[in-house]
Amino acid sequence: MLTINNLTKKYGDIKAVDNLSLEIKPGEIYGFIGPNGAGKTTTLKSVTGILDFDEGEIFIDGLSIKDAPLECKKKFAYIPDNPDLYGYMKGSAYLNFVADIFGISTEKRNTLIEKYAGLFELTDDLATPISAYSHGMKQKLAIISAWIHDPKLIIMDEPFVGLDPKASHTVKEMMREVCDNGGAIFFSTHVLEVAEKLCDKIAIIKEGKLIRSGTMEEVRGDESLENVFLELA
Amino acid sequence: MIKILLKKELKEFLSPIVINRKTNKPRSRAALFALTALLLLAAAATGASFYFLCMFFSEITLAFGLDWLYFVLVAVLSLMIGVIINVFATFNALFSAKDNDLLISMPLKPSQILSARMISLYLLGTLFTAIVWVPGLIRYWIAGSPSFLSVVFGILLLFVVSAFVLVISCLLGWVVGLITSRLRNKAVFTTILYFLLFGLYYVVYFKMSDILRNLAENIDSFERSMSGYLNPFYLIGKAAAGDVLCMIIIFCLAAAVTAVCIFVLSRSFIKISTSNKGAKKKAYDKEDNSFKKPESALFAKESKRFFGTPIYLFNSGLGVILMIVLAVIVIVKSNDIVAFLHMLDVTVPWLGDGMSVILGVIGMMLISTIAISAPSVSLEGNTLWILKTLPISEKQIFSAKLKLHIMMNTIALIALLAAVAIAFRPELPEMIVLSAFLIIYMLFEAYLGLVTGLTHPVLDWSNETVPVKQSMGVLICMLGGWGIAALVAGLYAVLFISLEINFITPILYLAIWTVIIGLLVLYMEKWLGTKGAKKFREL
Repeated sequence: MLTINNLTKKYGDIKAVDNLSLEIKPGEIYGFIGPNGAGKTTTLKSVTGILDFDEGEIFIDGLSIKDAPLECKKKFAYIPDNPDLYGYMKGSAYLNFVADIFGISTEKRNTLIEKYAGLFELTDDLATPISAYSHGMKQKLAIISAWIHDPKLIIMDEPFVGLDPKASHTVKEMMREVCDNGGAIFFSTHVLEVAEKLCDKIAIIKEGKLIRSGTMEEVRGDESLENVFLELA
Repeated sequence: MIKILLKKELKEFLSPIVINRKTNKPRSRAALFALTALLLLAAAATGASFYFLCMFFSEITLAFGLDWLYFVLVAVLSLMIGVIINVFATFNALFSAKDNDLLISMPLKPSQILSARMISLYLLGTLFTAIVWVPGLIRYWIAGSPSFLSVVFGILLLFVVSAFVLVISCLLGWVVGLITSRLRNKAVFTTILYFLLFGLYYVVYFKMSDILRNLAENIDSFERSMSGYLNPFYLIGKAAAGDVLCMIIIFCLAAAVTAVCIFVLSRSFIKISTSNKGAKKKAYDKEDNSFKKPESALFAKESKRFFGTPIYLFNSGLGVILMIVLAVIVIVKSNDIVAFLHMLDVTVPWLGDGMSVILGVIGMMLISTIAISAPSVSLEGNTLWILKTLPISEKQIFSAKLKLHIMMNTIALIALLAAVAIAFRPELPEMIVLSAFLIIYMLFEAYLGLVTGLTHPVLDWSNETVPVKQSMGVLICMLGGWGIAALVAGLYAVLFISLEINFITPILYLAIWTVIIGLLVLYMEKWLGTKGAKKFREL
């Protein structure tokens, strides 16, 4: 679903990501962990086409993000670490905007908005301008907008920040549902307990370099993920 | 602490001038000099119009030895202009800044946050006040009998008058803040206020000749009403004329009201900045969900931002209202205009012959004030990631931004062309060429705005005033447009009036410009598809 080959991204002379390679297959929840400034967000932004990169290749469902950016973008959804959304729009207007871009029919969007807004208890706030939303509400709206077009791959940067426990639980269930239906999830997190329980595979990045990756068992062995992380990072 | 906050404020205030947004590095000295010269030129051009007004003031006051009264009039004008320009910038900077929450959460007193912001606003207000006050001083130095003290006090009083501009702007901004904190739809209320205030300005502007005539006829009673040490204007007038005691009193008064203003605003700063009460929830209705094509969705998004962002709507859309108002006035006064044109034909034949060029140049100057596409890229700000991760091409994004600009301009342009057709009654070929010229020029401004918005983006703003009012793209678009209008008019004057050439007609002259500007539009269209798209991806 997502193949990253020898990705290198520089800011001036500094390598934010250094020769990183990963492969995320359909059905996998892939966690991406590392200390602050390790290069997680830069990697995710390179995958989504927000940032251009210097070396390497990124393929989404077999298509290169550099050569066929629009086709790639039709296949994934991205949720950034800070959900800055259009404050001048109402929540429902934003969801409709995203649905329009992906060509989602009125019937389908009605069903999905009802389903996910209901799950996040956001239905009553959909007619409110986003500028009046709290961080958590914006995060919920960003998540709904990602799920509204049924993407094959969902890329999330720290998706649980700002969410209440109930919403976090809902997101985890939604993530598993995507993978059960043949999709894939690639997300960064600092919450190691979540990564340990939720992820099928995990990658640890430090100073732009991949220092360990694989299934949860391969990465942590008999230790806890926290201990492995503290040793490596 | 205020020093640190002030540094932050000044950095943001000066960043459009000092920082090159292309490279995110400080501008070279040469570029800085050129930019400063350009800004000074614009200020001088505006100041010149106030100088002429001050000439009138001087005639009805200085001739009778009423030097202080002359400065009263200049001070009233300075205050009015300063406050009108500054009031909404003040509201946005004080109560709507994006970093208010962050600063409030820090161990800072509201008075410290406010003081730093007010100093920055004070500098901005001083620049606006200077546009009126300095020409007033120059006029006094030329036509009056300035003493050493009056020269020194005159210069110092710029800073005193600016303090009053700041205080009045802050208090009006505070009232706006108090009202909007209780409203659900703040944008609509703020926009209406914008237009009301500016409408008031134009009413005064258009009634200026009546006001001045009344003033000249009743100068004695005006003098009596303004006299008295309890009247700040009297104190300013007397101080500017060289009165030491008045200078001391007005200086202390300005300092005192500024301190009181900071005290009053500090007490409600947190409440206004963070208040959201009165925002009643509206029920979600799935009937509002309807399918749109991506292009329509992008256009709807641009429209929502334009109509939902008061400062954007006001600054970039004011020209549309002005053009429509002007069109209505021209239609109403069409009989007078026809009579005037007949008179011109007799007295100044070359002017009558070149009417299509004159109308074209006026149209260009009006169109240049409508900068909708110019700040549209910068206004994406922190939300730029949305457009960059959705499956939409740069072409689709640019088209939506251009479409909004073109649609808003088209409404105004149709009104203006209809007014020209009714009032000036040009012949059909003249009307066709003039229409084509203005339509092509309108497209040129739309494309120029988008191009300069991409080459000079400001994405890290903390309130919309920065991209809408202070970004380089908007400045280039407006001043560049006026520059081209001046070129069209200047070249016409040289060719047809000085050199008296007759092998091309004024209509052909306009047609040639239509082709030239059309070619520039085509070039920019191509640039947007290639380099412009690349620039957008790199943002």
